[in-house]
Amino acid sequence: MRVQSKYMKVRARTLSRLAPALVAALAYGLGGALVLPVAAQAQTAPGATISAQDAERFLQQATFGYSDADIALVQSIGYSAWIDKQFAMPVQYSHLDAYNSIFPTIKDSNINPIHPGMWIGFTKDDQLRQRYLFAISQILVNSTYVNATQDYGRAMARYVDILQTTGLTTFGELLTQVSLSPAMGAFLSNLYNRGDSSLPGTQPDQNYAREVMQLFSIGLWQLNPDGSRKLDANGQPIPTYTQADVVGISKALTGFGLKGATADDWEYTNCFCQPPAEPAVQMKPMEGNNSYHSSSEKKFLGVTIKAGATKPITDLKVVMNRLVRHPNVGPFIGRQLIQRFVTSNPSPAYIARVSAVFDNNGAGVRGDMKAVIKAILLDPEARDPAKAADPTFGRIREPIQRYAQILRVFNAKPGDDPNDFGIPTWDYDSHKGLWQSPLHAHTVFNFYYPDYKPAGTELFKRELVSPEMQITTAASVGDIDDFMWNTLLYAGLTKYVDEAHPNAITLQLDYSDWLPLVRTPTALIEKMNQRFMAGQMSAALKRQIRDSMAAITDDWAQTSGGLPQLKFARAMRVMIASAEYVVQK
Amino acid sequence: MTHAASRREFLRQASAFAAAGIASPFAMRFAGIAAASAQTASDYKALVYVALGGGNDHLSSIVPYDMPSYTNYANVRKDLALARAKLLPLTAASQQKGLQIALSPRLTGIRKLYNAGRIAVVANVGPLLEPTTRADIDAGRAKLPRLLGSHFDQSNMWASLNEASEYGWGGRMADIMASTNAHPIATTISSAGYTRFGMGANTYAFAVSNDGVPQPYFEPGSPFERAVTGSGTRTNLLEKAYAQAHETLRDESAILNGAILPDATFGQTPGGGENELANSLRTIGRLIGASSAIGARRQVFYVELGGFDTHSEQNIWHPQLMTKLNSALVFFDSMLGKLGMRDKVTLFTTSEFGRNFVPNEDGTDHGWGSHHLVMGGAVNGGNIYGKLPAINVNGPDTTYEGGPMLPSTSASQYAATLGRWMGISESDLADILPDLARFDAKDLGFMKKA
Repeated sequence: MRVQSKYMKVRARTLSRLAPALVAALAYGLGGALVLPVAAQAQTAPGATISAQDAERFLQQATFGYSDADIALVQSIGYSAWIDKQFAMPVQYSHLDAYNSIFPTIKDSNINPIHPGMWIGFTKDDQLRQRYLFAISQILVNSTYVNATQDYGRAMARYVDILQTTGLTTFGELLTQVSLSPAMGAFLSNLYNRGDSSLPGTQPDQNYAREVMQLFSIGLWQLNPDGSRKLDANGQPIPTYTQADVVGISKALTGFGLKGATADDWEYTNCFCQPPAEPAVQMKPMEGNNSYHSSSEKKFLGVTIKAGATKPITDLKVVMNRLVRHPNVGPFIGRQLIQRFVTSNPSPAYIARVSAVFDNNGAGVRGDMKAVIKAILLDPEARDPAKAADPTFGRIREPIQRYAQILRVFNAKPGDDPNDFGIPTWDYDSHKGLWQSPLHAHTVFNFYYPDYKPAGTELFKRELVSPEMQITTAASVGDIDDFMWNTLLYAGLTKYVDEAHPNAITLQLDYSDWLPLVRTPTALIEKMNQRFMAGQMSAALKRQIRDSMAAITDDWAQTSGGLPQLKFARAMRVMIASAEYVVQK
Repeated sequence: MTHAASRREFLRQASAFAAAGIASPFAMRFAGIAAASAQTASDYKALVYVALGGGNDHLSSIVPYDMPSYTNYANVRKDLALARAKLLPLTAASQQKGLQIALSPRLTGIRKLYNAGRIAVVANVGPLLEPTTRADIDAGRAKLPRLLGSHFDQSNMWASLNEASEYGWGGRMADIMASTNAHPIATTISSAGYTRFGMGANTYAFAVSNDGVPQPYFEPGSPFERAVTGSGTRTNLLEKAYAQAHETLRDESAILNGAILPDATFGQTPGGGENELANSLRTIGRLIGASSAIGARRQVFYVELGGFDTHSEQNIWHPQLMTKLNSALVFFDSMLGKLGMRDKVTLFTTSEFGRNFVPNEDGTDHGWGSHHLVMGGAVNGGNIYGKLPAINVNGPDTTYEGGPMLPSTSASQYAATLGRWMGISESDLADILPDLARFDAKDLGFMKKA
């Protein structure tokens, strides 16, 4: 009850700031998205139905960061229309276009520009697409961490574009395009996979065949629509596939090379030791070659492709169709998407509602991903404000999400180096800094497991999961804090790069709306509360932030951006590291 | 002043805070207990679990060497086969029916340690629920571990060795041994963050890094610390879990940071920073050297070396991994020698699975059984334990034609042998390793009697 009354109070207050929010909207230049005159706004303003705090809470789930104008827009048009508007917005940042402009010379195809590109994308206005891109990139995992993808930068840029474009069509189309992508082919070694009939004495590489089932579509155990495991007559869970199915699918998926691959390319086997002769083909799907395709019988998941000559693409489509119509896909993929947007431990009923939409979007389409995302965000379990006080509700914001929120809220711009988005290039590989970098998991198993239960916690005792806790350890939290603190403190300042660039400008964060409030900490902290924590900040945390700011008096401030920036960075640092902030509720 | 200079200034302040942390109330609370029991630490034992992540190709690490086996191996593995003339053959006292093995040419240091009696080979180990034969499998009557072939699940199987438990056998043993340590929470330590192996009901692994023991980034008793830990007033269970990670950081740091041996203690680390396993073992060695100071009598460590999932380009990547493994183990042995603690520490390798005998075009796929190494002064080294497999595409030691090697020794037997050396009682071993009862040999004999 205490929490509820706090909520009511905030709600009453936030209604009164609707008008200033509209002014801010115009100032933020969102014209196209918000052209309603104030009078019309007032007429349609359903402030009584969506409070500012409710809108903020929704935007925490649906975006990396939001402005006062975004809050007003959600209040004005409602959740569903806001989602539609986001989906209607064209892609704001094409990774392949960006890659091609950075590396116009087609021969060059290393992976490096992908990293700043991911962050730049996260700050664009198609925020729901960006949140989805990050979510689905943690399910259909590809990674620049491994050697196999190092020379497939252009293919990887295209892979990201597949996730953010085809990713919003149907799951079947998405899985097909992912499976045909040279970046995935390189990552899970299905590129130039042959074996058995075309190379006697060998067997096809089983890497992709296994993971496309285990991780990308149906998972290990047969599931009910609510995500629970089906049980056999002895009460035991039932595996979705056997080793024989892995073998069968591995044969069906043989025979794919880069477009136009010659016999020489095939004979050089999976040689990823040098870039392909013509990297332009990285921008195309892989192409089947009948000569390197298995002509053995292929049996998997109840399907049999008879022995004899078949086309690779035909067999691939048989595999895709079989996987996508498996009843597991809805609960298996749906639950993980819920975990990325809303809560780590969705109720079975929530999963079942999302599964039902996956199975049929209402117009007979299976795997309509826009409908699935909408179902996740509009579900009563996501929208009910009372859930914020449920001890088991919410999710730990990924370190990437925390950092992206800073970039988005403060309208980040690169410094002197257009590739410097505050990401410490010296730590690409070690994962230090955030201990997580987009598209950079160590393995296809992502940064953490969907079922990870942190040992020694009440979550563990109650069989509740928190995937992100797997990378929240004594060894990581200090690095994450150090990275955030340096970003916040030195934003817009200079750093020594080399003798020629002794004072290079670093990542720019726009604090202009914030620094004037440092003199009135209560107002500043309330603004942080609204823009970063959906108005959920406790009185205790507000006091802790205020006291932390007050403790800063030393003249060390002269060496950085001055006392206001030091105090503001300190306030932000304390909030970003706080247990209350870290859990999105 | 430049960004870089002010960052240095900040770091100086940060370490001043951290130094203050050593004198925090937590440190004081633990210091009293440590002083009371530090003298008992001459009775010290530790296990070091080395996970070769991704599934090590045992046939490129420990290679068939007798002529008939080698010929079969070379015919099947073709381009992936290592040249016989370059292999490092191992002599063994154990009877292996004329079968011989040799090490990869990259494992020169490991052969020296084998010859010096400090490394043993355990042949064809893997998770098993019961003794299992090819005939059982073909007849469909074998009771097999679940989800064979899945990285995640078979790693967990190795770490847990109990399908009904979410705990690891290292954590279960630590639960039993923790009370003998002055600081029970410093019983299990991981250099790889999360580990199922180190997870017990009451103990779980503290995460250290290659740089040593992490330190709190918040000043003790400050409003910042209260914000991070939620002052213990949080009701949301995820917030509590996050706060708890910080409380662990604070408490562990208070115990370990004053005691861990300096980074320079063991000289140059092989690999110039690029050998992840050597980097991890350096931190573990620095902590083992501090065991007496913190009053630790029994400890369990977990380290990882990834990259073994060699589905493709195996000839490029696997030899590099062997070099890393070789120099890291040699380095660790030398660290223990310097500490005079070789006979108190036993390191052993695991890997979720070996790899199939029949290769794909330029790599290998997920198998099951694999050969492993055990290292330490308490090891009956220079010998092969278990039973070497027949090298045959469709023989009794394969799961199906061309497929995974069927383990002849259970990982539960392997773990029991190590646990018994640590001093775990027979009844506790039976409890921790429920499948052990189905195997005749409860001890593989590779550890010296205590």
